[in-house]
Amino acid sequence: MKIKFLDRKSTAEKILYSFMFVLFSLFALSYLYIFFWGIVASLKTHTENVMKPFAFPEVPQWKNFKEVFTLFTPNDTTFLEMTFNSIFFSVVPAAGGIMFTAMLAYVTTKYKFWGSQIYYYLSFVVMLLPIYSSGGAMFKLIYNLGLMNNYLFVITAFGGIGASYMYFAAFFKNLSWSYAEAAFIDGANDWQVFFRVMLPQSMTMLGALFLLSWMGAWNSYDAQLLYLPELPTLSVGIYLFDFDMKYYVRRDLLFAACMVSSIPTLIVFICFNNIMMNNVSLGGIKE
Amino acid sequence: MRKIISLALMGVMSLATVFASGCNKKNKTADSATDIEITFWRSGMGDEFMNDIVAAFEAKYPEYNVDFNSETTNTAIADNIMNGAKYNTVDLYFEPIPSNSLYQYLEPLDDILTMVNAGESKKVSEKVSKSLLDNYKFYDGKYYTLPYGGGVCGIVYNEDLMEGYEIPKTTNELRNLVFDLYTAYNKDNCKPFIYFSGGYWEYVYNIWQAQYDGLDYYYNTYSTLGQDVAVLGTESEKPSLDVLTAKDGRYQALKVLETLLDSQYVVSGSNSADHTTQQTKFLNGRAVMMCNGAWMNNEMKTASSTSKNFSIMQTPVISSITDKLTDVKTDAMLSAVIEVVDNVTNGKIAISDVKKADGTYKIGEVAICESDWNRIFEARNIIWENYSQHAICIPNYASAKEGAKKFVAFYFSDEAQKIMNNKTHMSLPFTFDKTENAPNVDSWSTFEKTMYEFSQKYTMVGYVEGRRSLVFTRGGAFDYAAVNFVSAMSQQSGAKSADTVWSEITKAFSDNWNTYLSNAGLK
Repeated sequence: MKIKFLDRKSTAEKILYSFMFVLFSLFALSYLYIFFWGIVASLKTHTENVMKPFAFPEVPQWKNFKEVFTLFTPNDTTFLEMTFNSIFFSVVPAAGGIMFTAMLAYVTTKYKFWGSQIYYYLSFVVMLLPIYSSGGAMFKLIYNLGLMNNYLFVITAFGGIGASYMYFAAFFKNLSWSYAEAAFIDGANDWQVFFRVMLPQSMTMLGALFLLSWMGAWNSYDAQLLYLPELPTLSVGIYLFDFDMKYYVRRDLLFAACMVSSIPTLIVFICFNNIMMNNVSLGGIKE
Repeated sequence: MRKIISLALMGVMSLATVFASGCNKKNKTADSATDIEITFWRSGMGDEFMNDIVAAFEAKYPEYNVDFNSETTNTAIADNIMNGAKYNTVDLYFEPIPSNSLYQYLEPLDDILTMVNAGESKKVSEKVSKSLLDNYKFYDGKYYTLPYGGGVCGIVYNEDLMEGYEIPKTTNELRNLVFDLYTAYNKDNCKPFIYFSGGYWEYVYNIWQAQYDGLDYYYNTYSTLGQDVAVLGTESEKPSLDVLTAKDGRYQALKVLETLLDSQYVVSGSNSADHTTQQTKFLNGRAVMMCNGAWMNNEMKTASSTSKNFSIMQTPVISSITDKLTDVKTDAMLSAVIEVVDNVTNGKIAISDVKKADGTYKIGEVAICESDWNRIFEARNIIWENYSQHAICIPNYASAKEGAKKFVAFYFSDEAQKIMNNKTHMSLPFTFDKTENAPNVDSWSTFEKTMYEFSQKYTMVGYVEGRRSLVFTRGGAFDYAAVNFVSAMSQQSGAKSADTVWSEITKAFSDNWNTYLSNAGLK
């Protein structure tokens, strides 16, 4: 088989690239295998999972997926309720958080006023602060504000500062003000300039950051466990159910729940992986 | 696609505003004298029985409303109780025994013990085993906690695999049995023992320690380090390091474990897997024996059922007890005495049949002195319980204190205990007011029947948190200085001997002694 990519490479480079290809393929396979193993495990009985962890099921237990919706009820919360909580506590903070961040970054970079630089440095400080040093004060604040076990908890994601702020600030800083001036000349006001001219130019990055933020929130369970124990999301539910395994022996159900709960993230990744991979890379904005 | 996402986002955010206005999910019970809020640790017993008991209580006492919260985690009491009424409204805990430092926040429950439930004639104190209640008594003689669950513990075995083998009466017989089982079953990938992460061995090694030292020493010298001074704290009676480093029953128990924990006798992975994994393997014939307790069946009922039969053996008597005896000097003789002791305990023969006029006891053709008989009788008739790891307690700031006490008294009624027996096939060491209310165990498995029998028959030995020395409860000392000896002794290569482990234990005690005293506020 002829691989075009290697045509213009030297022998040493060919060996190196081939080696890297095999290495990365194995790395990717190791992830895929875990997922595959999870699917197989969710189709086995508890006893099969313990006694023969790497074997295929004797009889596929499809009922496990059905039972996820009836028996997987940590803290008396049904699977559908947890799914709703997961959607709510991932989509709303991600969407709202990104929008607030974009607005804040735009205002502080494009409009000069006293203190506009504070947010930039504040973002640095917030990122440097270890979460545990502020955990106690944060808990007390949330408790006293009555946001514990409350859907209004999402407003804590609307602060606007943090890593995303840095991305947006860098983007808007480098975005020419000429676009805005042209719009102003055509009679647009500040809001129209932002929403109809400037923000659309950051749509690809905004989309990518939203997806990353959403996936992070979907999988997160620490804050939810601390502040929203009575409104468990799927990830919290799985954590609690795993804890329940101490006394409620259904490992098969746990794996089935894990598989079902991973479906939304898989769908999103399959649909939007190009946006994520093309626009954000580790260390900063690629664009 | 962008439009669809935007519409979806709008929809979700609109829903958010609707939900946000709803505030908290759970409507908390009013914190009044008639609203009893219960936090319950759902251990291996489950919570099904408790839901029924709550329903029965509410039917009987309609003036009370019970808010029952069942939890898998067992840290609520430590988290909540000290925070007081400002942060929680819990009136009644069914949780692991609270640490010694929390007793100051608890309401004495002595008056519950004197209560008589409607339609009954026995006081609560007359219904619960005295030896178990003794384990709940605090230094000041009061009861701040009472039992609600747990069970007797010991060596559980697979009856099918043990067929043809004699149940060992002494630890030397147990050692020989382990060798025989290994020889017979190793080819089938079945080992004599399985355990999890070093777990549950305490059910037998603590008993061996108590057997060797005697219950009096175990409770009144070792556990309290020779005094009640941990609380009284007079300078002259400060606890002694000598007691902790004395080569007592703990060392003897280690010597026994050394013979059992050989890596070839235990299922590989026993030092790392969790308990339900190992129990699943045990139920499926991967091992013949496992240290476990009365809850095992109930805990595993959601997993695939097993066709095998299980039972618990009375903990074999430590063979080295002969060091402390006058006339019984061999293991064979010890075994013979134990057989007679068992016959007396089980009512097969009367004590008068073995006790002679001169005070000695006739074992076959041999007579043994009374002190030997008493030591062996005591050693054979004690069993480890973990009831005292489960505690009912009421915070002294609870607003529904009287209602909570009424609930606890009801918990000890025939009606409530019957619900527990029927739902869990487990039992407290409990005497029913009316004998007809005692559980009909005919439909129970052999395992459940034996556990029930043992819980009614033997003297309960357990941790007496309320009377242990502050060196343990606050100082940070552990019985074996937190040395992970089960794992250390069962390694495939480089397994440590009992003597090596003992040296590490005594060194750890010596090195940390001042820290223990300081932590306990005794220095």
